Amino acid sequence: MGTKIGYLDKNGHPNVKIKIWGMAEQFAQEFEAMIDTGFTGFLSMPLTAAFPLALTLFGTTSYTLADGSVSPKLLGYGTVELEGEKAQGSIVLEPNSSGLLLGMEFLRGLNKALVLSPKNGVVLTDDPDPDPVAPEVPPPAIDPPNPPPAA
Amino acid sequence: MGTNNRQFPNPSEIAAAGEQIYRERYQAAFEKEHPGKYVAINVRTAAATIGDTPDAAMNAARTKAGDGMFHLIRIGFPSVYSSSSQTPYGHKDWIFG
Repeated sequence: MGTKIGYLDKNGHPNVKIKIWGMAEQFAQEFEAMIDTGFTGFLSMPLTAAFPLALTLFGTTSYTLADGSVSPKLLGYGTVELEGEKAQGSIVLEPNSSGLLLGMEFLRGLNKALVLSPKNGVVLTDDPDPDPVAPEVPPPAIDPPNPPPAA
Repeated sequence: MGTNNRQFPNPSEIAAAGEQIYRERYQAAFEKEHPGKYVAINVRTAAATIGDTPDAAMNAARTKAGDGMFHLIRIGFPSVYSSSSQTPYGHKDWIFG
């Protein structure tokens, strides 16, 4: 069983303390980040907070927001440390946000399962099945098939 | 990471250039051959590098061209990442350019 490593904020969202750095650990800084299981990526963070961390700038990518719109985002690369465990991944850099989001790719990178408890807060445990056979996810259909002609 | 506009072109322009290169040169073939994989488009050379994960595609592309500027695409999908959470900042303009 894992140990408590975070807390639920006033809205009930799980939060943890993490360290982030880019090219060298000497640039590491500590942040509080919300674990968002609705976010498919590794980490999303404010662009301005990323400057001192010496992240490697990858380029850009696209991000689908909750309303279905797609927005371009800058993409960096860095290391995140949580309770002494480290994972590396792509970091979405948000130009106007103030919060940090850890997504499903982060949990996958650490092979962790997330347990939320109103009494005990946020607990991460080792995933008992960290590498299941991923189901084939077909790309979304772009052009729906034509309906059959009326008889 | 720098803050100079000359080193740091507008991300929307990089993304648009990458999407255009992808559409014109790679989309038709890649959607048949590599659906669900990731491709890093070097917007400076129009080269494409495919990987099984975002990091694999980007790291391989950077190994091939360390000075490249890349746009990452998931083949056959509208975007690489998505969020089901409502954020108040998704549509704001970039501070660059």
